[in-house]
Amino acid sequence: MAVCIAVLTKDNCPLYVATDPTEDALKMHFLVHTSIDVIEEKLSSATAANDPRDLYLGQLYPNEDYRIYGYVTNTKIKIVVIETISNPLKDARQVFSQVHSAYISLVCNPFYSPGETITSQPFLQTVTALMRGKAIA
Amino acid sequence: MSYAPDSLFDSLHHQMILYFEGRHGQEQVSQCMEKLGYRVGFCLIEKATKEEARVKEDVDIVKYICKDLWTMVFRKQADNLKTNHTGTFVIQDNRFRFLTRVSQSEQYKQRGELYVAFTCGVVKGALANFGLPCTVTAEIDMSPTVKVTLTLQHSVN
Repeated sequence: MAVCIAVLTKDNCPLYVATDPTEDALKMHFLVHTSIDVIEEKLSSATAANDPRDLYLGQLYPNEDYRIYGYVTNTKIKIVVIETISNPLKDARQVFSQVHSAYISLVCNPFYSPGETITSQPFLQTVTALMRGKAIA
Repeated sequence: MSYAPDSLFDSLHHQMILYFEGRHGQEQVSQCMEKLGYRVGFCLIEKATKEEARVKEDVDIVKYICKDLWTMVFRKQADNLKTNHTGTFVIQDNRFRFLTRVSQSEQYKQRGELYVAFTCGVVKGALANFGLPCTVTAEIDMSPTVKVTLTLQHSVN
């Protein structure tokens, strides 16, 4: 089960950060913020461990209580997912893929201007359901 | 997957030009069409790049525009791409879809320019979503051949 899902723009502005109520929100924000550096480093490193053309970046850095995963789209939108070690996600790639699809639907919505904070109900519902570990149809 | 007939979009495009002309006057038509195209290009790229591998270099991004974006909008690839290696690219399309049905005489040359504004907007929006702000202009020397010039404002790397 994810404890935090964050969506950031290409300038690293947070568009949306969802945190599980059982966790300290400030700590989650801090972890997301520190992971930005790691993402930038992974993007610019020439000898990437993963396939450098893959959008999924894998685990970003080790931490005693949490695992932090990153994903960057071709349009430079960064998605960060934090999960607890005690309750791991089944498939992080699947979560990223679904958050990405929800984001695409959001951008195609004519009432949403890219760069605004996300307040769209369908997007919020998708992310909340993903955090609880429910697969989306 | 079946597509709707091309004529539907051709007609819609033509009507959009007439609508803006009636509503805002001839000077504003290009601007309005370009703004529309910008949002369309932006969303198209967001959707299309989900399944693509990461595109890194400026040149790769422009090549993606010529091949995949052109195929999405015009159902064919762009015919020619030239660059001066300092951030200026020229995409050439020898049978520009919206001009193939417009008469090629000199009389309609000025009107022809209104028909490329939407496409310029699409390219501009697409590049903006990739992180490459740029200026896009189009020239029609010999209809239906159109040359779209992109001038990148700064590199993504």
